[in-house]
Amino acid sequence: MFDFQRQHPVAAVSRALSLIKGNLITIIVFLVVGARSESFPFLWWIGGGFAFLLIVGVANWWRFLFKIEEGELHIKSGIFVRKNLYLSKDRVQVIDITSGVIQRLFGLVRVDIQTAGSTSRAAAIDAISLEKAREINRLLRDEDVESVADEQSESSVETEVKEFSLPLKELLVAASTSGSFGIALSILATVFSQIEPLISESELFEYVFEALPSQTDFVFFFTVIVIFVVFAWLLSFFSTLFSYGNFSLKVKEKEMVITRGIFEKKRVTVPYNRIQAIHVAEGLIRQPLGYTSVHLESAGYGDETGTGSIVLFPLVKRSEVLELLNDVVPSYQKEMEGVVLPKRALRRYLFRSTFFVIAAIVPLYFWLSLNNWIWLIPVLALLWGWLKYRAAAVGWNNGAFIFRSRSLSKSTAFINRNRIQNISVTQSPFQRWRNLCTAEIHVASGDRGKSFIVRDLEKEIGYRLMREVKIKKGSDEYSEPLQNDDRKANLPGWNQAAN
Amino acid sequence: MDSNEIDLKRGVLVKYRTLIPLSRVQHVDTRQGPLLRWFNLATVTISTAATTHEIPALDFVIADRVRDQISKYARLAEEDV
Repeated sequence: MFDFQRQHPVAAVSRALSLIKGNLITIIVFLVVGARSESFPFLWWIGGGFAFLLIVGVANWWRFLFKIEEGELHIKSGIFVRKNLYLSKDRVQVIDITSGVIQRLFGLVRVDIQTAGSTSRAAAIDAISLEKAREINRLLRDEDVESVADEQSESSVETEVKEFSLPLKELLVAASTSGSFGIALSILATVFSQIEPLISESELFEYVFEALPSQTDFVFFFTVIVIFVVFAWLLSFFSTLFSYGNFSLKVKEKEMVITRGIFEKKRVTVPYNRIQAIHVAEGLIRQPLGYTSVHLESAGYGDETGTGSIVLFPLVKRSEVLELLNDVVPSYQKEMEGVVLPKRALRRYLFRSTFFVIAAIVPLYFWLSLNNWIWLIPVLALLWGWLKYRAAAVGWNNGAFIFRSRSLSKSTAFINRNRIQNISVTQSPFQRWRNLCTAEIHVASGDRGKSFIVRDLEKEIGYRLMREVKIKKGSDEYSEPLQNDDRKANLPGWNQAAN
Repeated sequence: MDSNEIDLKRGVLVKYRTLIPLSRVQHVDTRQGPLLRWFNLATVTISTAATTHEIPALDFVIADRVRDQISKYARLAEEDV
């Protein structure tokens, strides 16, 4: 450990594969272009590409050296640009030991060393043996063996570990109602636009066209759309299934550990003092079924996307959320009295959600003489506005806040005052006329932060929220009581039948 | 601004009011472009872990004082992120 050493050679392969994964779209485009060009045989493209990636992977492996000396991790990496990374023991927050598919084939592990900064994934060792990983863990941690990922040591060392897992039925529900539907659709559209020339050259379109019972254009396009939607749904179903399978949440004394994934295991460790806010999302499809998903915002610890948002629990019944939160984050205050919007805000909500839709549809309707069914869309928009109005509410009590609002899914955020980065109250001219305001709270999350917004609150409430944030420490105890003429509500209100 | 918060108001049509607890301030800058330098002005930028806020075009001397004051208060109001 005190001399420089290389990773296990398998790191080269895993590096090459991760390069493929990272540039998948580009590669597909290249392959399609390559398949159509006459000068190169198709196989050459694939073979050459793989050889090139493998060379890059091997070079990376060769140039990657690490050692631990006097409690300091030193990593040298990079093929042409040499990068020296020094990481001292004092700054290490969490050491995660995980294993992907390739690592598991060879009995190896991957070590992620996280610091408090937002570029926390910078120090990662792709493939080493478990013994070495243990040694690194021991050398970089004072309280050794505290969170070695291994199961045997874990259960014996940890005091009081609560564990939650996702039952198969809930996993299936989560997968089939997943919100990544839209993303799947757009991926599909991209892929389709790439391979569309190939398909149209073949007889597939004509074949489908022939096979249909009635051959109007409308029916044809309708079927194409239906096929698309079904494919997108399948895609999102399986991607959710694979990424949230084997989900488990372990609650320890100082931190919680979230593991998920069937083929590729992902593991996130979140110390409690890094949690900035918790929000519960009720998706459009999931809400009528009574299901929600729980997310948390953390400073510095995110998934790969760079935001600090982490899925704390992918699917839980609305009636059981409070129970779960009480178990996982007991320090959060979860029930309090809140205020919903005044009636005059409803008009603004309806107007906002329908204005653009109607402005777009009316000219289209007359120019293109569309079907009358198009008027269904503004009606839906109207309904959407009303739902948004119904969802919006704020609550506060002794330094804890609840912000509830809806964009597509209904989100209920729990925020503690000592995590609030800033609060803004905004009034547009129209809001000033109606004596309303918009309140927005920012919390730290990832590298950009996250904001929770409730629009068209009573102006007085906005300023009261501000004063609530302002109250000094020490003289904490008083909280301005709600007046009788306020429109009260019990937040989060999951127990009421009406919601 | 007092020893606990910075309170910003701005906007002609849309009115904004922002409250930043000083314990959340990460760092404070003053900035000066060529135009501002010509008029002896400077902009104070306040960064928190989530957002950045600006106090534009203050008098150069005042801007310096505001920056030092904020950084002093922020150090006093120390607390974890």
